[in-house]
Amino acid sequence: MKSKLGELIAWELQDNWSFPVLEIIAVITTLQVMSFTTIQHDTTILVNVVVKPFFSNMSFVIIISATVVFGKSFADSIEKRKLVVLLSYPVSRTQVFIAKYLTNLLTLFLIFGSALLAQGISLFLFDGFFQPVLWAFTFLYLLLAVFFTSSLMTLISLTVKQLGLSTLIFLIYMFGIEYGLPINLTNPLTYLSLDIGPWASVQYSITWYTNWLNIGISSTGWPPQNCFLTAISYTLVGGVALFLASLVFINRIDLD
Amino acid sequence: MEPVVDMKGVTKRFGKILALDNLNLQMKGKVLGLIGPNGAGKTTLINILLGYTRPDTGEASVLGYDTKTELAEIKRRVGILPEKPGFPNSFTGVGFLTRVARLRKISNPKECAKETLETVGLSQAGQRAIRTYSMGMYQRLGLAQALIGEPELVILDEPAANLDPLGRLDVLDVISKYSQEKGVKFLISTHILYDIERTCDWISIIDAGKIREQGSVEQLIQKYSGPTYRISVSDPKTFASELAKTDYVKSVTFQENAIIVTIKAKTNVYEKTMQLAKRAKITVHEVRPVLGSLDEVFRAVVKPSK
Repeated sequence: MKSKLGELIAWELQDNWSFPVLEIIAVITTLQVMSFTTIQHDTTILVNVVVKPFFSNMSFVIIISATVVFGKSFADSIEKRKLVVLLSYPVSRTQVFIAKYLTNLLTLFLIFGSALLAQGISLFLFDGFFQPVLWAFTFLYLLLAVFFTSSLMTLISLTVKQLGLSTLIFLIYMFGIEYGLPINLTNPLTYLSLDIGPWASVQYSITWYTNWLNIGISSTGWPPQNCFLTAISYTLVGGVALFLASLVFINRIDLD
Repeated sequence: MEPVVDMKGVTKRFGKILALDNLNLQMKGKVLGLIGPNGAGKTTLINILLGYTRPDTGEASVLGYDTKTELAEIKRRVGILPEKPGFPNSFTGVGFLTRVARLRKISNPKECAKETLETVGLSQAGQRAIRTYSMGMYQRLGLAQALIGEPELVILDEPAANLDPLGRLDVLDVISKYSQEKGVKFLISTHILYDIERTCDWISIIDAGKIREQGSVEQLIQKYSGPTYRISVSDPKTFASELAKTDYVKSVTFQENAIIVTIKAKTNVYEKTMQLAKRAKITVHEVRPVLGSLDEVFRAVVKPSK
């Protein structure tokens, strides 16, 4: 017999990822990832021709997917009184929250990560390019981007308790950041964008790594350290803060 | 007897709206009824018992367990049908109940799910997706998920909502069966007085966030309703209109070709009935005392506060 958390995860997968949510996100992701290829083997250029277009194309998909998946899982289930039903069984609010959050975060990461993995495999098969450290950093910053958007949408959903309004607030904020901020690569605020922040972080990390090992290309001097730290703290510290706030909030809200 | 539900000094406010006002409540019995007009505070009261909402002040317990500190224990022992429940539409009826049974750690979850579906008359629709269910079937499914595993107490918030008259009677039968044969206790919140009158042995009347009256159905009817009789005659319509003209009758209603009449105290109803029947040339078949109606109790208790 499964643990309660296991049961709740199975419940969430069957309920929130029922046809056609998984299929639509997977197809859009595949189409976005298939739209770019590379024959370049240089690490720095690879960041520009693979990692940059990946995040550039995927930032939109990540935002929309987080809206649909987490909005449905939290705001919609409060609005349609599914959460009230689930909490009538012998499970705690924390267990329900963790099950819902982890299921959706990991499933989204699995879909986006699979696309990235397919990209890596194709580069290896067709071009013989194999740079595990670069892919590890790319996976890491992809996870951070998904983590941040998921946590933000979760907190908004729990606060607003309505799918329509929470979607609107989330999209206005996210696209406000994406398109509202001036693109100036020396301005740290620019790196709050999911389009720029993650791939700049990959660039910074791989440069730092190669410099540290004293191999490969030397530092290009971009992005500046303060910009990298802004991007990292926004997604990591911001994501953790939003996650913890959501956890506290779900234990305090009135489900009337 | 330990109270099934015990609330002391419970107050709950939503902004400027005072939903529960220093409410004190003790419910004892097997099938408990909570009745009150719309907006009286019934659902808020139930939400507090189930930990969906926290009271601003006061204490509440269910089956002797505190709702703040022992909620997990309450959930293990209580089955719940919340108001306007939302079930996962992509699940089948059996699939959904099987998952509920697993969360409740019931052995043979699938068998138990099928049995419970049969009890509520949904066995034919067990393999269908919940999204294809009618409103009545949806409500029966709600009853099934509350009953599964035979919990100690089942709390039903508006269990007859969306059900046709036959469906309502089926639900009342299921409640009676589980209560009498399996010893399951029920707390039913509704505004359909007939359902309460037929099934409950204890009722609490709530209005404007306060308990206005509580006790056994018989006690309350005796307290608030006048002496009531069932009169069977050859021509009920004519006799009822003659009765209505007299000064000793409080109310006259029909029930299955008989007249239910509530009279003012200190009236010899047998003598008066015979006199009236003789005058109207109507044959009297039977006159026998019956309990009054909860309807009258409800009107007497709730009306003065309005």
